Amino acid sequence: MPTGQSSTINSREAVVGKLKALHVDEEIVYSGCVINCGAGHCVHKIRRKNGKITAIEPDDHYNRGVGREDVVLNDTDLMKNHLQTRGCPMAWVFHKLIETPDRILYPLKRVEGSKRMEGKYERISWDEALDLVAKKMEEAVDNYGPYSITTAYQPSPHLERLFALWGAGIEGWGWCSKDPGRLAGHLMGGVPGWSYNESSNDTADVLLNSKLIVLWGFEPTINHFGPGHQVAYYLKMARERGTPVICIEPRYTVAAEVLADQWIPIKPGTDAAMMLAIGFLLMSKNLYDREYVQKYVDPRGFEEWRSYLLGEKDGIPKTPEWAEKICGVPAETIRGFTDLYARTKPTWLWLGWGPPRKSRGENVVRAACALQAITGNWGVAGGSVPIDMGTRPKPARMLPYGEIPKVRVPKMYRSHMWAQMVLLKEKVDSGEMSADEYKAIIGWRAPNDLPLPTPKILMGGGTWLHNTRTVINAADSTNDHIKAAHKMDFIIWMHSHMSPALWISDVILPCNDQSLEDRRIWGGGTPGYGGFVNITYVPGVVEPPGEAKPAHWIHTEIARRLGIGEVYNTYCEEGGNWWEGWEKYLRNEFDRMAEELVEQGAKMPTWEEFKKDGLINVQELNEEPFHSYRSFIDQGKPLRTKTGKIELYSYVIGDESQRGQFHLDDDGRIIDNLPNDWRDLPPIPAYQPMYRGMEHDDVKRFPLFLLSAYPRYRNHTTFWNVPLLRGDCYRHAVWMNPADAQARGVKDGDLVRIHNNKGVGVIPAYVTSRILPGMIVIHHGGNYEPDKEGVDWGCTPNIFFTDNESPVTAPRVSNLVQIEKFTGARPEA
Amino acid sequence: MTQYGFFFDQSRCTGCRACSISCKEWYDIAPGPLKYMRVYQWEQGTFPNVRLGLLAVNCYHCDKPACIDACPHQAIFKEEKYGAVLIDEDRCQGERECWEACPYGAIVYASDQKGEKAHKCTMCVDRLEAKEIPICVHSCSLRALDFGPIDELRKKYGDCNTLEELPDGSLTRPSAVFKPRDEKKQLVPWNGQKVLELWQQRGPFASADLPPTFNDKEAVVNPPSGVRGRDRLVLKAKTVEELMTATRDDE
Repeated sequence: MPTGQSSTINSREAVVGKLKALHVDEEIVYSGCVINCGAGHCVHKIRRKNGKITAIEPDDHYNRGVGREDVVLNDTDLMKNHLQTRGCPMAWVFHKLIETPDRILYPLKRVEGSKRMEGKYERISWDEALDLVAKKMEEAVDNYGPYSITTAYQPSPHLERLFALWGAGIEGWGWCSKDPGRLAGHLMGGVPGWSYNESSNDTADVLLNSKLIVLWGFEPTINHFGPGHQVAYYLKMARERGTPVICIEPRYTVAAEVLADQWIPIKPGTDAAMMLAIGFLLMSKNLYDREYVQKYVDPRGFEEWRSYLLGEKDGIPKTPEWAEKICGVPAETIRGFTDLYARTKPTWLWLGWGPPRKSRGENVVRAACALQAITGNWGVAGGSVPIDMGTRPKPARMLPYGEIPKVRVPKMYRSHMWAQMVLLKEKVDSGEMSADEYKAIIGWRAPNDLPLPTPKILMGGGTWLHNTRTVINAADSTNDHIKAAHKMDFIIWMHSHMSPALWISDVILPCNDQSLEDRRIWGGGTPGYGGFVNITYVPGVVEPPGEAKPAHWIHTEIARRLGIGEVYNTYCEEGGNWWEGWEKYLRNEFDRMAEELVEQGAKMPTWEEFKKDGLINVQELNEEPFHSYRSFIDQGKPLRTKTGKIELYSYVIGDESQRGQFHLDDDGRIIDNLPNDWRDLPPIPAYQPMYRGMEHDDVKRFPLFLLSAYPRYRNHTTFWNVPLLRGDCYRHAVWMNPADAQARGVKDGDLVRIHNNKGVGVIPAYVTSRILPGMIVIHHGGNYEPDKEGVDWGCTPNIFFTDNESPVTAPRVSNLVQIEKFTGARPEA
Repeated sequence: MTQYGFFFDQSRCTGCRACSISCKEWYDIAPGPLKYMRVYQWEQGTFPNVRLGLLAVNCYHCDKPACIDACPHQAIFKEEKYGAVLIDEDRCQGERECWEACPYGAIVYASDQKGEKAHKCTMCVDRLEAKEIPICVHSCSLRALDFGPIDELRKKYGDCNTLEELPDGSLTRPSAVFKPRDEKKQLVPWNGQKVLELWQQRGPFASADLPPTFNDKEAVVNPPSGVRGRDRLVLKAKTVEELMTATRDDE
């Protein structure tokens, strides 16, 4: 038997040698991460060998070799982001995603004679595919007019440009994430939803200046990874420095455990009721900031809201006792919270995107903003206007590859009403429904002299391509969407990965992975989420597989076939080397950004240096933390609202004569997120019970309230197919309280069948006391995997959802369902 | 030899598993139970008084490593440059004596088969040789982990060598410093009983004939064991299935 030191040394050499051999002769490439996480400003340090990625490590531009960075950083460093962008758990396996077996390698055409959703496709050439797409588009316009080509789920910057230059095609308005917030920003603060002129605080402002932190439906350790984690890191440091943190949530989240001193559970969809009771106490006990209100809040709106809260018109004072019956938070807790909130200034009250996303979310976000207004928390360091997590506007933004067209195609429908826009149009055509009723339901947001849409073609994907299969998994109710898609003459989808959700398409065009196979300057388009104000370079670390192409190449080729190639893309010549033209474009954009940044005092790298180093930290330019609406408070610059002040009451919605018109504000700017007919949206933040909530009569049939929330290990559906995450780290399961489980003979891990009048799915149960009885949660972004009977074994929550009833909110995150234990077997495919 | 070690701040751990994933990916380990860094999430108490346990555990490269003493084939040794405890795979016979001995459950196996070789955290000695810190420490976005010479870590973070959920530090003298999770505070008055009562009622807008949200309060606050998932910490999983169940969650 070998003993003694020599054998240990021999072992060491062998063991350490074997470990070292895993990573030899590798190149290091820095790349920005491109994913739809709300920011995408992380830098990855990528190891590459023989054209393959062998590992992805966290960024090391700062503090190389330091583990716990805050130990070595001072407040200025924390403000200037002198720290590593440590990404989310998904970051470290990003390269596994691009190698999954479901990558789409070639342009595909549905097999002649096969039906949609059968999943039978054959390979065709790019020329054949693109010629067919252009031909179908031209035919549709010839036969059905310009408003026959549609998009669903979200506007696409590629199509916006293509349609505008071509003069045909329509888009939906709005985005799922924060439309009520965008509307609130415009109505209350005079800031158009897409302008990015005023966002929020950066994380350093919260850390250094806030005296109380309220996480209201906000879970940064789960949502918006990377930047979310930067927020979580700063919030945690704030708590360590003694700032009290309260978390208000229907579930006991990780944020409730790790970031908060106290958790206050609340019934889902009732947040506005608690906020109104807080408002009632602030008003009736004179706890609001009188001086601030006099200076900065429109008196008419203040009076309208005060009167409503006190019940002067409807006879219902919005007392804590009134609210507790609705929201389940005891009256004494609401009183205690209000006392703490009123006496602790400034308060960073932050509303996640979940509460406004539910039915009647327009009230929640406006009520939160109204509370922050009357307590003097708008426009002050450490306060908040809880709408947009973006921070200061970046001085540089990427422009499209050519001039932006001045005239754009109309946005006729709420993007999430695509299915109803299609399905109900038949009723209008047959005379069963009036055009006005149709317009009100689909959220018409266009001049009234335009004809109604004639939807015949659906174009999808290619933008945020990783999550675009969510048009079925996230936008409309899945089965309604499929029903509407069957009405189309032709469907084109651009995507990187195949899944049953794509089987609705007639032609599928394979896209590059945006993060690892594409080439771009990144982070130049939006403000930094939470505090990363970075511009990164994405070099295209590996070659795309098969014949996958960049989305911008695909749209350029379609434009060429429509005869507008030269104006659509002014950089890449037809027949020329694509990447040479593209490089010219990127270089041009870099020079333009550099000019702007140098003016602001930045030391810019050269183009070649930037391409190698991959990072420009714009936060470096700032000498103090950022908070929004500063010029309004510090310089007395009026807001661009009607009164120049914060408006708790909307003069548009309050004026019945404007109903049905196309809404522009007093400066002639389109109110992005307000449909012509706002239906029953009140002019002040009020309480309206949510649609099909826990008080709905249908609980007799479907007694459980289903809520979908964001998962931790997927970005929408993306990464669902990576086993190092799914299986290793998480189970896609339905959260249910032990009381609801026991009543159904279910224990943790059992398969359960979930159903309602919209769909059926099968999924394992996560039985947990972290969720309130009577409600269940299925995380968003499960893959749609139907069997022959239409039972969804991927159990995407959207199969259970229903149509929109809120005029602005995209509420498909909840409905009523029933659950029973499932004892059968999964049928063979 | 300079003994290196880890600092783990439980109060910062969100259980996100970036440490575990980046480790598996760095060492090119297939999906499954070979998790050198095991991240646990489990619940304590019941609604409305519930808490979430979170813990990331690796090998602590102990000063008195029980695994080394337990191995009948001298397959485990303490490396002399950083004090890393390493397994020589060529000598391992898969008898699992080390697994029995280690109170932290640091030893993991690819399957439940007899003779399966033992694996564990390597302290990233290959990265240390290249002047990099362990990948788990580098990838922790809440900066809950730190790494360095254990004497320096003790100077920085104190000498707490265990947590409530971990074995007594005097057993194997781990090269690790710990900081326990935060206590909860009641910043505003709150009454769990009242919350339950309010929750049971459907609400003022419901028709009178609708059933309550739940019937049996007892089923909420006192569920029988075996109904809930992960209602306790399993630090030493006996099988692959047990380990996988204990180290994944439903977030």
